Amino acid sequence: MPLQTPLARPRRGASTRVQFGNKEVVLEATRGGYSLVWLDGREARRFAVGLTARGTLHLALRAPRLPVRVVARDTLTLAPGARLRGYVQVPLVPTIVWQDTDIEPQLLAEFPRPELAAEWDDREGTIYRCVSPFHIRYPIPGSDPRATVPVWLGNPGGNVASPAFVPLLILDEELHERRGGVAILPRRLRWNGQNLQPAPRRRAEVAL
Amino acid sequence: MRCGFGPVLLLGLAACAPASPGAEAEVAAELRALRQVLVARPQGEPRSAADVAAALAPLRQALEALTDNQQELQQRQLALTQELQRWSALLVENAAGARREETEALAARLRQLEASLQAQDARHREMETLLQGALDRTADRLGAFLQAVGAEVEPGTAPADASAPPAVESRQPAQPPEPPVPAGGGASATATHDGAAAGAVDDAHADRDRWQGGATVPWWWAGVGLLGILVGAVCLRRWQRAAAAGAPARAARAPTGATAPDPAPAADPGVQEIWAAAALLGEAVGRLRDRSSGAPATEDDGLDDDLIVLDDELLSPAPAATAAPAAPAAAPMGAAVADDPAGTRALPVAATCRLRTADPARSLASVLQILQEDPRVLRRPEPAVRCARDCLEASFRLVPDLPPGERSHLEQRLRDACGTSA
Repeated sequence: MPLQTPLARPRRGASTRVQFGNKEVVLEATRGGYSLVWLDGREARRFAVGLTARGTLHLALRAPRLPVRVVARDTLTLAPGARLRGYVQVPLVPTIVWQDTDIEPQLLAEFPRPELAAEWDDREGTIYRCVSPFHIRYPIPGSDPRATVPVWLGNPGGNVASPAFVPLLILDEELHERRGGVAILPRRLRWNGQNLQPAPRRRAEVAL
Repeated sequence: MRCGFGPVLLLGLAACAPASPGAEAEVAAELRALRQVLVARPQGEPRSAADVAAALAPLRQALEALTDNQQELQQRQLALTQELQRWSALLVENAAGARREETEALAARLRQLEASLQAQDARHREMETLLQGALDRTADRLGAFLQAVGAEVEPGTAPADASAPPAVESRQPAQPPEPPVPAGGGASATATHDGAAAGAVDDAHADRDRWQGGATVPWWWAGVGLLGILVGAVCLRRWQRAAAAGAPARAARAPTGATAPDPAPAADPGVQEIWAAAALLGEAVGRLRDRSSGAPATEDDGLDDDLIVLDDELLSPAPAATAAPAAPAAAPMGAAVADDPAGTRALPVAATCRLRTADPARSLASVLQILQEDPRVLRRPEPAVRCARDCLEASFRLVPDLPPGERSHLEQRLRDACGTSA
């Protein structure tokens, strides 16, 4: 699914449908406003929306706005001095964005993903936790809106490292559509004895 | 067997019985009756066959109906088979048509690519021709210039073609100047002069040939070198401009790990240019130092290459990709959490919701399930639900900056789970 999908405003009595995966958004023009129905394959939510005469709506996939801890389904183990490359996936949050000519784009509705479990961490604050397999190829098939993150894990220490999660913070500006999927720039993480910490990127930052 | 055993038994009983006229008559009557029965038995078999036939008549009807049904099923199966064959033929035709369209599209694309390749090749040849011509002209001009300079420096030596007329004039001052002659008639014109003039002209031609044959080579190479320096200067200038234009974009899209990029340096392109140049210089110096010291490659040296190989395509931003995040830059519904993730460092305030219920045990399970599955509720600290007589008290923490509408929706879900509307 593309990062942005225009949601045309229907005529009176008509509706506009956008479907991706097992999720669906229906916008209906009703008497006095609009009705927005979100169906995630199991439950449906309805929003009564009021819009101005001008402006456009579109369905946008956004990155989680909190730091994400990706727990790999496969146990990650790094020998001393070893490195590991692969891909993890982070669920993207479908949102309805309202764009008018006078004001900046506004979030009209947000449909939080149940795969993103919010938690409180004493050190980092509120975070999201999600589960992902550790993939080795890209693109990764699937219709669920997810962002694929190439990760590089290194263990410069002298002991075996087995990280519990991969910490990530993804910005919306980093999302790129590549080969039918959504991907972001590779992340380099290094084991410091307790957890994975970002390692400085050397070559990519000075790329011509 | 039974038919023969009955009369024999009766005869035996009659022989054992006391002889009496009534009994004999009775036995005779019985015998007659038996004879009649025996006589009548062969005639009864056709009647039993007819009875069997009559009894089997419904079965026959059923069998006939079954046969008719079977024939109808056969006809239907035949029709279905023919229909399936027609559908298969139609599908095959469609698939062949789609494949043909794909093939035609691929062939058209291939022709287009070949045409573009040929055009590009022609452009390359044209550029090569232009460069060769420019090099030749540059070499000629340089040769003429150096020839003139050499004539000024050494007037006694035989000048080149450009200085030939002054030499002739110095040897024959009384000779009026010759009208200009075409290049093709140079030989006939020189033939009208005396032997000295002819010798001077021959010397000049000899010098020109010597110049073009031997001394041209180093100066030609000097021209090539000069042209190379010019091209290098132009390329360096263009590269500096490209680096200055791309540095802010790279800085904006290249966060490292879980840390967000600092947007402040990206605002000043001059600073970015300086930083990019400094980074390039540092990298070049580091590589030179590594090569000069002959130290083995450290772990990080190989890791950069591996990272690029991981997905090199991701490192080059596409135009569509840069335009895509326009909408995600929308302002969030609540406060600026997306802009400032550090604002999530404060523990969210616990929300408490009192729910009246008629069945506390069942409502407790429903409320706990909602609180554990709803993505708007923090899983840690875990939500707690206390049960009183006819009331549940749910305590939970919500995701930061949740709009009031979402919070109200969640509380209403909890009330619905308890069966209370308010």
